[in-house]
Amino acid sequence: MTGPATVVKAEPTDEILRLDDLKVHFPVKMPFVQRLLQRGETVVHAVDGVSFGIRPGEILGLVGESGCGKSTVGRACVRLVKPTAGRIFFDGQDITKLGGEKLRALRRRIQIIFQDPHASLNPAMTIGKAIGHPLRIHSSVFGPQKTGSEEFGEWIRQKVLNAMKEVGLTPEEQLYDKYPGDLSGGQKQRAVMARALILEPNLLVVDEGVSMLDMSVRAKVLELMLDLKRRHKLTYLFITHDLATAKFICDKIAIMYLGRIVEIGPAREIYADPKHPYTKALLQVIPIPDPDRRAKKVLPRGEVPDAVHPPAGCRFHPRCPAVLASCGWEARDFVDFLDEHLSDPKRAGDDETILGPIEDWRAKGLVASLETNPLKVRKAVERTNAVLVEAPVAMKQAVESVSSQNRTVIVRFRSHHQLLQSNVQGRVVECLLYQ
Amino acid sequence: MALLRRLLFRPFRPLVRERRTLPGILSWIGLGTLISFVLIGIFGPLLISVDQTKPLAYPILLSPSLQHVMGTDGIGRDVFARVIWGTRTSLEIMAIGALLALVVGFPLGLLSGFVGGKLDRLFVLVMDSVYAFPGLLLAALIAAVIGKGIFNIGIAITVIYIPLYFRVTRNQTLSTREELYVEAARALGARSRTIMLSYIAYNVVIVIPVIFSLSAADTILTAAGLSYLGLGLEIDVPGDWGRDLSDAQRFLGSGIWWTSLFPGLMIILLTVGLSFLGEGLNDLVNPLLKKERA
Amino acid sequence: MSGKIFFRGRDLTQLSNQMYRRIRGEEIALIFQDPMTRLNPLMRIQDHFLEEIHAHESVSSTEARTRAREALVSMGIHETRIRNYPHEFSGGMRQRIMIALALVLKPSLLIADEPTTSLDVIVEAQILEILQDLKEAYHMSLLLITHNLGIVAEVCDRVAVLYAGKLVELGSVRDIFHKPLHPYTQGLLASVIHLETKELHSIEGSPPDLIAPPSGCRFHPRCSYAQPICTERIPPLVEFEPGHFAACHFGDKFL
Repeated sequence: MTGPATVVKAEPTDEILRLDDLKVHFPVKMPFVQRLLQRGETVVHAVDGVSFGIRPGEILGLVGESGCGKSTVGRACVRLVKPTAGRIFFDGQDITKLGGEKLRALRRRIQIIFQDPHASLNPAMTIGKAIGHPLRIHSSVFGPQKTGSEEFGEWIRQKVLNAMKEVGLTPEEQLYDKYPGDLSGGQKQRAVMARALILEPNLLVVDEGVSMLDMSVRAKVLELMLDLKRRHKLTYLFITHDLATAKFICDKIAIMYLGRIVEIGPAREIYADPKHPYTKALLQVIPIPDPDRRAKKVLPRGEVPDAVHPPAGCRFHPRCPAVLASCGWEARDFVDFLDEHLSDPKRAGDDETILGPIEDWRAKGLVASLETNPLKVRKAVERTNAVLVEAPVAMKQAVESVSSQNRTVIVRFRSHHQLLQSNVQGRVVECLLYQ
Repeated sequence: MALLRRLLFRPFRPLVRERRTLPGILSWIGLGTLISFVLIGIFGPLLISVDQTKPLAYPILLSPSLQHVMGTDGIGRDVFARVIWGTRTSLEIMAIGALLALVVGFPLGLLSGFVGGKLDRLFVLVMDSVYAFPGLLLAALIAAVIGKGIFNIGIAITVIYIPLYFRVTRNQTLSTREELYVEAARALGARSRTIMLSYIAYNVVIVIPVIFSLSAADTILTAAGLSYLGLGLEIDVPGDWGRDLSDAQRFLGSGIWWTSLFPGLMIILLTVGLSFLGEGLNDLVNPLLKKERA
Repeated sequence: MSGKIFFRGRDLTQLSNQMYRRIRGEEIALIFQDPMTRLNPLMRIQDHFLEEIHAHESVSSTEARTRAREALVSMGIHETRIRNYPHEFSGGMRQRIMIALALVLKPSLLIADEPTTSLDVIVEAQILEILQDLKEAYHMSLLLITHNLGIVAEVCDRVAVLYAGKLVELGSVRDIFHKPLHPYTQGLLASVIHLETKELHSIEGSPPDLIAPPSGCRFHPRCSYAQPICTERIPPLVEFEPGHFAACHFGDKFL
């Protein structure tokens, strides 16, 4: 399966981080027998062709629902997961395949903060030791005279205490010898930030860094992040599912859905006028804390599909409220629709006896077929057409033909348009509506 | 050295923190028993002459009295003296057996779990085959090959318990390896060695006292069992609970209880104490593991 | 435990266990944050329903099965899937199954404890929509327990604000959002980050230790309006305007 082509090429810029058509696929764990029976490898398309760049001092928000691959992108940037394809540049250097000491050196400059501050801290290490540990890990860069000397330990201690003060982890002297279990969630997240900052990195990947914190604490940690950015000229890749938080903190926003970026551009423009239907949906579901402004929402149907077999064409098309006939309709969309139809006794009538059971339908690419009794074939074709009348207009239009061959009913779809990225009012959108 | 010290003290933190809970009390009772036995084993033989443990030192089969608080046995040895000297013997075997097993099993388990892959599969295969063998039989076989003596019995027993340490350590390592803080350490640029020692070993070592206590209890029984079967220590060892028990067995029918009761009681007390410690620690450590993760 | 819980005029704390079990399920149903903790992974969906129905009503198995199927279909889940196991469903579907299960006995009160917290935003909105529709359709009361004020504003009619185990404010959703009387409610509202947030606010300090709660008003250590009286006297819950209660010594200042 080939992903949509990228037309917006990376121009050489002063970007600190650049992803070029990054792909990360994970093998699916399968029982031994199944692995033998199944030919070819089954993979999760966690990230499937993501490109973006971040300029120094910028905060890029990578936003999406769980399972869209945003965390995998973050982990790939710090090289905790191996990219399957594509390239990652940091400060002009290709870091896609970096290893050994070079990778260790890189890690002084890119740091990551995870969602769960508690799990990020070694329960057996005191806070002070944990924050200072990166300095010991990279002690070789400080030269042998320094590392060997008596004062090295004291120097680290002072640096740690300063870092603790800077992130507001006070009183620092008391907290220094505490264990993570003795701290509150907000304090732990501050400790994690101090640990990430002690090496003075250039880029900080924040993976849902505030999602687990209480509302009142969250605001403070966000303020701290903005403050640190100003003081240390930090660049952030801010990964979150929360568009409201992202709006407050980010300069640029990238919306991800099922391993692809569907819209990316300056935060101001995207919030003011979202273009991609998925962005619109995400913005719409953010509750407004005002009971006088309740509004009926147009919600996308269903849930995020499985990333092992992502939908053809635009991955959002089966749920999209603005879907077109050319968005990527395929056989399994029809089978899903039929399933839904048959499950509603009011609509289905006796369709189940002719078109059911749903398990007998085969969906392969653009062709859905049902092998049935030769006597029923004609009736089945009629019924299929009748069911299609109720289908979403776009799906109906995408059906090329409903025909029969001997004892088989065949529903054939037209092939979809190739999905390209297009520049729309200062941002890049991957949607046929703007092509 | 600091690392080693912290590794050694780390497992006992819960013991102090939760001393008032039932598992805490249980562990303290067990620890108390163990310490008393260690004290007896160290100082008892200093106070009691080894001559009292030799055959024909006294008239045979005297019942307990003020001179012989536990009586004398079938060949005229003082039972009390034998029991005290036997404590030292048992502790020596226990220390050799359990410590050697720990020293070999723990690092192997850590390495196997951390490195994974082919090495792990090989280790697991070897360890599992050893584990599958009946313990006493294996020890008896090894003892028969390498001969008698405290050290040799210790070695024979070690071989049974290495797989136990290996397994528990490896499993704990496997689950610790998946923790977020390990990934975080990797993102900080830590080398594998640092991750293994500072991040994983620390959190795996908690389970060691548990297996140590439980396997030590088992060690005592196995050693006694070997001696009972006549495969254990040389005949001139000044105290050997297992052999004494075996010797005393034929007098039981004639109402002579003291020769078997006291060595037997010692075995029971020490193993129960160790089991208390092990079970108590297990209860302390496991909820702690969950709490630290939650 | 002390105090009373009245349901339709009857004190639930005085009921026998048996009576209590009857009411729970038939009259009061519960749904939780994580549906997987309530669904038995070894039981088919159908068996969950049958168990629930048979525990409360003596109906034939066929009847029970029909009702189970109806309940599931009403949540938009295909009836053939009634034979599946919980792990074969997505998070949103599991939560819909939980709701179907809670509603199969047509209770008059549904208690939903953080029903959408573990779900993605779009699915969350879908579930909230379902809950609202059900409330209308069955004429059911809903006790929604949540930390998300945005959801409160969208779904609720009345709001009770709790702080450190005490009710600090109670009123209509408009009163609470437009004229909060308790400084804690004010702080909470200000700290919500939403799309129109221009400035971040937070409540100083952290929630108190409930083993030794602060004297007087439990919020006083974090309250910027605190006076000496706040550390000494526990503020009573006072009706400052019709239907709008608050437990603050200075509630009238904010009217």
